[in-house]
Amino acid sequence: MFPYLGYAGKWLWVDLTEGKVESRDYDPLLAESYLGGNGFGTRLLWENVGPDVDALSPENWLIFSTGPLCGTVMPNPGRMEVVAKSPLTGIYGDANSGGFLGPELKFAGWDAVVLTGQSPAPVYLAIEDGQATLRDATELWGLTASGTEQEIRRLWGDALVKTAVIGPAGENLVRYAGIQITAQRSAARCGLGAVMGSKRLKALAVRGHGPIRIADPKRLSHLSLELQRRLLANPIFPAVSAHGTPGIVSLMNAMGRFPTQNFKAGGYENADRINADALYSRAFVRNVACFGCPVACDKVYQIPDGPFANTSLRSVEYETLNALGACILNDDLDALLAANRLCDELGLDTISTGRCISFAMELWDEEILNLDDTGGLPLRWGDMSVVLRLLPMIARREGFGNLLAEGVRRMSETIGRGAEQFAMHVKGMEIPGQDGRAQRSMGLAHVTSTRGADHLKAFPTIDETGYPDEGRRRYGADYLPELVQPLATKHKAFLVKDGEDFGAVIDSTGMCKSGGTFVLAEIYWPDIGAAIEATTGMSMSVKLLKEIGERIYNLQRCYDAIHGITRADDRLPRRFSAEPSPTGNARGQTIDIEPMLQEYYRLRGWDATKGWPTPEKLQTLGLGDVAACLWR
Amino acid sequence: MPVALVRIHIKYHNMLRRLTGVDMQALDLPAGCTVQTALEAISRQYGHHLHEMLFSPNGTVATHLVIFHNGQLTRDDPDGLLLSEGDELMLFPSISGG
Ligand code: SF4
Repeated sequence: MFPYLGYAGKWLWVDLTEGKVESRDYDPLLAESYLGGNGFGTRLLWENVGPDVDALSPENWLIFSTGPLCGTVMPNPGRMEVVAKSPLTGIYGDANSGGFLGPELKFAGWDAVVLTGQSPAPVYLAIEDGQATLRDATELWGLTASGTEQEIRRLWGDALVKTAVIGPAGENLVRYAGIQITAQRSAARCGLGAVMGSKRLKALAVRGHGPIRIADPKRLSHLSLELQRRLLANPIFPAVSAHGTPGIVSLMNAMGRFPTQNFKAGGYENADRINADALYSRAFVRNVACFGCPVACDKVYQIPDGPFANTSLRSVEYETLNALGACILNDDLDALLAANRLCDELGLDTISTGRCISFAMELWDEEILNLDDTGGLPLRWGDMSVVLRLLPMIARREGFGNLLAEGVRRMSETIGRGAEQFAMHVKGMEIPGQDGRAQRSMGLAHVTSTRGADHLKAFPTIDETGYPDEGRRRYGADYLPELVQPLATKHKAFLVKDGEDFGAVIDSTGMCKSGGTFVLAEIYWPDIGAAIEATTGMSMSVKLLKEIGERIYNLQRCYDAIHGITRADDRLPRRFSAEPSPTGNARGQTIDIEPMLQEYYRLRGWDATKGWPTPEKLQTLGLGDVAACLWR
Repeated sequence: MPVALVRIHIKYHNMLRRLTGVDMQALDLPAGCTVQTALEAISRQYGHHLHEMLFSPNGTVATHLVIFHNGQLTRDDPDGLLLSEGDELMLFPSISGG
């Protein structure tokens, strides 16, 4: 009998080769040591998918995993984690999505779904409360993301079915294909849509009607109310709620932190044409929110007229405005939104897609690529007619699109001729919309992220422009002023480590990083500990919780380590250290991550030569078995 | 004796643009004015909703306001930061993310 409430207490095991679906009990030890979500996935991946497994082979595991707070009355508890070995990077991979699928899975009575093998023909997994079956998806194969969801809903006669689907990009094994989650949100990064495609799994479809039982409902309601009050009283709540992540476009542009023209610059002269104000006045329709979220940072947009008239979409994010905007020198907002919608339908991660295109555009500029290479497509900066033609070619791996479908690192290796000096990735992952020359902690975060270049693992928000009140409240006055200064390096290793550990916990609970834990820095370790106690009945001190965060993050690093990652891979592309930023607050700045990295290894208790957790460190985290495997 | 004036420009973003209804404005202020003077002037012009975005309840400039002075982020005391003819201020709510 699973002893904790808040969890469903069981998960689904699916062998796609054999067509078998089985219920498995949730191991209480796993819940105590890894919580759920991200931690659950990390441990299963470590135990079951070794270095000899190709990410696109049947032996890779694809893990959809909720956490104990997912679907509860906590603020913004609609998040779900997807974990697998990444076909883009060949190392640990995960992606996280908001929306409604995670809570629905819990209402159906499952904490997670774990899939392995490869189906002989396209299938989808249908979960209706306690019943789970594999169903034929031959008719769905080839459909777009929204087309797939609509068809499943039509077949079920139920408009409230929640889904995770892949589009053509996932089917065609594009290495950065994402998974689209109800409603129009994405578990975008790391190419996990390609893992789904390799298994011939078109979709998960879930309908659940059951309750989530709470250990101490009164305590949880009081806590939730208090947190909601704190969120609403936060002075920047109105701005975050009004515009969501697009709200930072112009601010980051002024900081010189808005990657432009494949990271040549950190500021775009036409940023105001693609910023939140432009988006709002051009296309805003209404606010929407993920499950149980008071922030409602999500919006529905619709282009009112012109060549893309009536194109409607939601979840337009800062990252996409950067990747399909400034980074390719595009200031045509309508075309940008149309490209965003197309990526969603094809099932492409907008960040990696945009970066592959900006990389190709720079190579065109440098005359490393020509018309023979591109199949007759001129790759001029900002030419959205070409971009809109390229997107389906990438998703279907047609012509030049087949090369772009491989991601920046493989593109640079295939093209050669000096292309690698313009390849903006870390460990094979395309760099998202930050520039370490303008914010030191982000440069470090891109390097230490366990899934390759990423801002969301550490998510250092406190020093983006400097938030002294939040910095003081969260970390204490001793760390100020440097901690909140974007160009300072002091204390940044500490900030990144704390963010990574806290983020690992948040991603293991089912809470959102945009809704109070990082963007509105209101909810912190003690609040999450209290919420876990009230929800599950598990006793959870801050010390224990921090240990869990560390355990998860260290295990991810160990997973990368057994896949050959060492200290030598912890580096930024040359551009950041060799070319001073020409724009904004960062003008004249380069970044040297070395001192911060040294400090980071020291704080983590990692071997500074190899960049791996030491056996002693792993022992203290209860990972003796992992140490024995890594250091044998 | 007429007071010498300096003309400065203020650019609004995000909620500040919504509250003022403009993206940019020119403002004539007495020579020797500071960033604080400019914020007080626009606060008088646009009313208490904007005032709440610019100032803390104790009357000091809000720490959740991000100010760029001639393209450079400033965290200096707004009361000590003098403005000259042609200066530009950009004002943002201090949001983060992404
Ligand atoms: S803050 Fe935004 S992304 Fe997060 S749960 Fe709320 S609506 Fe969704």
